[in-house]
Amino acid sequence: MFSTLYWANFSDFIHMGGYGLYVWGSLIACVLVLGMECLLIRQQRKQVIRHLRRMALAEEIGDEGYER
Amino acid sequence: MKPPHSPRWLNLFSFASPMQFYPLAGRLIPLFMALAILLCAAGFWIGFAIAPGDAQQGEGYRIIFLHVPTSWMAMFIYVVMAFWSVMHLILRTRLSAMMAQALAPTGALMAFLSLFTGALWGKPMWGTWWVWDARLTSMLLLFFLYLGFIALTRSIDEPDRADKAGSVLAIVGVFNVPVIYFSVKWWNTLHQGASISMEKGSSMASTMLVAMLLMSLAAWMYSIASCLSRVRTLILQREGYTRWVKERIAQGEK
Repeated sequence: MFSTLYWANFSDFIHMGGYGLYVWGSLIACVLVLGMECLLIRQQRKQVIRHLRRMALAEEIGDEGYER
Repeated sequence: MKPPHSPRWLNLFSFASPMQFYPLAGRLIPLFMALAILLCAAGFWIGFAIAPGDAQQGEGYRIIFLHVPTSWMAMFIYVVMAFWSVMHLILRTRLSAMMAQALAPTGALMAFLSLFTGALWGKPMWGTWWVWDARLTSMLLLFFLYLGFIALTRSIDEPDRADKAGSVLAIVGVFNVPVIYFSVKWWNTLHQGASISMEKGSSMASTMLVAMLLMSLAAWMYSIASCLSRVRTLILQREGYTRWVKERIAQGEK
């Protein structure tokens, strides 16, 4: 049941019986949108951590004071 | 809260504290992401390479393997969001509100993809990208509800007030979800009826059904993974003043 390929050859698979543009267009849209989401999540996290690092640094400098 | 002598894993309430939840989420994210990728690969293979063509729609029906999972997920995420909002209003737990806010962007993207793949499916089958019928319009409303929730929670600077306002909006909007689901029954629409229903079971070939379920599970796992990652960022952002976050940052949190 899960072993026989439906397609005779690769170009039929791409052509999708004339619906290729719609089928692959949908797939590309999903891949792009979800891929972008992953990148944005990572970027946001990096940004927050960078901000917290700066705050920690500012605190450290504030604690030491300017004794020079 | 904690009864004595109970093993720590039994006390789920302890995970309501961001400090406890943060490392747990960190461990779960790779697991759910790996599951999502595996299920998606299997679903894609069965749906696009093995399942037969459709009697009426030829090969164009294969958009179903993307359209149905994204649509289901868009609706389901909203229900979960409303659940966390209720939890937040009742129990006053901060983490519940953070969960709701972490889910919203993923839900919005799922709703967008549902509309987009639907348009690409509608064009060859109905001859139009869009019709103002009940199913499509209520789905568009869901997308706007997500955007409204995101805009509202991010426009209020005070976390407590943002949480409360967002929770109320999420709960008010949840009544749209059953409207979407039953719209094809209640009104005459161009949109086809449910392929899977409680009364009739499934009206699809078994390979099609398996592929659709695999893709739906993949979408589910992906949504959990992305929500958990967002929650971790939110926790860091909001708990930045606490000692445990400061320690983690000092230890070089990546």
